[in-house]
Amino acid sequence: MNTGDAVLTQGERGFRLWMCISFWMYLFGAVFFFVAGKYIPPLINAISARICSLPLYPLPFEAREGAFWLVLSVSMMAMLTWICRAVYMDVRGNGRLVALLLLSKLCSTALYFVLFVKYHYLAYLVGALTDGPIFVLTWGLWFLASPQDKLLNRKEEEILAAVGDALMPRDGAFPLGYLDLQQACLAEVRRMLAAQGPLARVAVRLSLRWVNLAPVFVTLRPARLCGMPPAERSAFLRRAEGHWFLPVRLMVRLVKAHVIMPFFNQPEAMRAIGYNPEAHANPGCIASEGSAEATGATQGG
Amino acid sequence: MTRYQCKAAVIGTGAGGAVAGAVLAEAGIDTILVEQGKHYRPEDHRDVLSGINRMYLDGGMTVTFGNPPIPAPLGRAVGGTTIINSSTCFRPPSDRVASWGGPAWEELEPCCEEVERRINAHEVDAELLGGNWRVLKRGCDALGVEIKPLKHNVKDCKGRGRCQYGCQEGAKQSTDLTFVPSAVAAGARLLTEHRVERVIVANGKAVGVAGVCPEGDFEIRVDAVVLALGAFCTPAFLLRQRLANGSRRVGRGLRIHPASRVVALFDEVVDGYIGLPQGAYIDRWADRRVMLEGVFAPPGLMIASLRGAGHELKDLAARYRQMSAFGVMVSDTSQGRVRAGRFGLPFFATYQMNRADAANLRFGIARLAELYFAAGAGRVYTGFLPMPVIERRDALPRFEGIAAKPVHFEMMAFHPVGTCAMGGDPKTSVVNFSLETHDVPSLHIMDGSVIPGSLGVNPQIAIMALAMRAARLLADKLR
Repeated sequence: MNTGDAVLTQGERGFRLWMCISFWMYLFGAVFFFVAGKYIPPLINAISARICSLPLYPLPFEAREGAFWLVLSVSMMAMLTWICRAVYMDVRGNGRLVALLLLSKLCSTALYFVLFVKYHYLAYLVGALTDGPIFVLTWGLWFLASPQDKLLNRKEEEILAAVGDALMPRDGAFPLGYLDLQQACLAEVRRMLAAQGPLARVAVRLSLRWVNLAPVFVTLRPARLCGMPPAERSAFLRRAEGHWFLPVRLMVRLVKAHVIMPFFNQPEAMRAIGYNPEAHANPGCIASEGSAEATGATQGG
Repeated sequence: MTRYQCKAAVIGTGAGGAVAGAVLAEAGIDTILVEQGKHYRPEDHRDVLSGINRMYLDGGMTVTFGNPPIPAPLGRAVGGTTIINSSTCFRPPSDRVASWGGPAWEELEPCCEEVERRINAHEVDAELLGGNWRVLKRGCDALGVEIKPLKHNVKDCKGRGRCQYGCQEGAKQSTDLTFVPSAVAAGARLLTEHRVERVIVANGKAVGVAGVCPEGDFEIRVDAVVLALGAFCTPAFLLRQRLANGSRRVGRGLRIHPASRVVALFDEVVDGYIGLPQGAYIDRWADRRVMLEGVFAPPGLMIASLRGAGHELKDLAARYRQMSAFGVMVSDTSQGRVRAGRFGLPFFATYQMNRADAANLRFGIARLAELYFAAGAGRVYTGFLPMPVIERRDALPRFEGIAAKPVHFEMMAFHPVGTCAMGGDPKTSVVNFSLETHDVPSLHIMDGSVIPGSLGVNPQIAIMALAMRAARLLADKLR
């Protein structure tokens, strides 16, 4: 069924427009690759030689040497073109196909980046810088288009639990850990997301996904945060929180806020650190029940 | 569509709107106050997170974009941001008032006095200042620095330390408990959960507003419109409608008082969360544009802002009662800009802090750390990326030797002003000194956006006094 603009949400309309643009972009790309694909590497090499001192990408001796890969890239472009058209025609019905689009762009971005780090050819950097923003834009707009009542999916809950366990593990200074209050904390996060605007919600959810995938980019091995042992997870988050690159820090801190704030909003966690929400400054009010001794503190004057 | 008719419509019920509404209604002007948020009673206020979720615009996720982005929380309820502020009351410094070139201090001072009387602004008893003040005072005494109690608009305050999440005791005299009830008692009508989407302009003059509410569309026909949505939302609203921007100054000149928090860890129990979170201030370094003000947060917010993970963070959390925290606020020379919001954002604000302000911020953090070490702190958390923790006092010179780049700081901003600045020249300002827009007669702006430049102190009283003066002028005109 074709979902027309009239019944779509603003986010869905925006994503539909992006799919329309993407359709023409990939269609043009497929035709351009087919007709003029062989000229792209020499062109990038010429630019590379002119503006930077990076090594030149090795060109094939004969045009037909690259034909095998050209066929593959054109067929991939054709597939992406078809996906964009299908999603454009029915955003809600065919929305799941976007996963293929995202997978394709994530793979190309990551591989181009790894190849650039390894071989330093400008062609690979151009590939990463082209596909990366397309991936981020498509992902972001798709998040905006996802149903407003879908605040967290199962995967994101799993990531939150993994981060929560890494930030507030069981035992240590006090026995209570994030996993003991997981359900209450997740319900709290859902309420937080429901109060936020669509862009803030997208930022939180993208940050969750990114934090889960970040170890792949940082350690260059197939390690997602959810799959790491708790101690390694904690160490990774500690490093990422102080990372020199601002977006990395911001995403980790955003996720951390959505773990720690709900956790310490639970009465059990408040009690564990001696916080008494009923305490007040009037004389005779008892702040809390003896946590000072537990932490080795002395009563101040 | 629901239609209303009255003399004046005031959009927003925060520091500016509520005062304007009350003054107009008490002057016998048929007034309607329109508020996008809900009307909460003190007994509605529960835990910290539900307070943030319900009363903060966008669930507290409003930010200015820049390097770095700076969170700038705003209230969304009857009472506006006064319902979630720290209840700190400062009169605007007279030299800053003089620099506006508008109403003289002698003209504004009586308004400040009346506002303070009506919201019960006074210096609170020392017992309400809590442990946070007690430990820092020890450091101040040791170094010969004066720390002064702040004035607060509270009545029968018990010092539960929850001012920013809705006062459960109803002690904070925010405008929902003061000026809004006064306006209603004087005959004003209060429309809650009504979002104004446009100003109706006929023959170049503002003649009404239209918007949506839970029942559908509504329209109010009036003789005068008063916008009081705050320094972020008012310019965004005007820009969306391309209104009153002949000067091209709408949205420009944003100042936010960027602020950072310093947390100190003591061996003793401080219980900083008990008492007024912003009890005292230090203005010793005002010449460096730095003001130090108390700030203490409930455990979730406090611990989330500290560096660490795993058992290291748990150890820190377990020492929550041994923490003290104070804020550093910079009277900024940097300027930002507000644009109309897109994709569900209520506004789009950009703000890039300059190096001079960053250096002042680092200077303030260093002074605060010095005071904390003098008070006996074992460790100080700075929120400064290259040196997030200072372990000893003798490490301070190293801290001060690091180049201060804005991106290194963790900041927040609470005092946006300047985006619809008042002035005498229609080419360089948005509103005149009666706070009526130069371009659209009968369209008035009475909120923090009209203050042209950084105040250096919390702007609540300044906004209220300016709104009171302007509303009286408007009432004279409408009568």
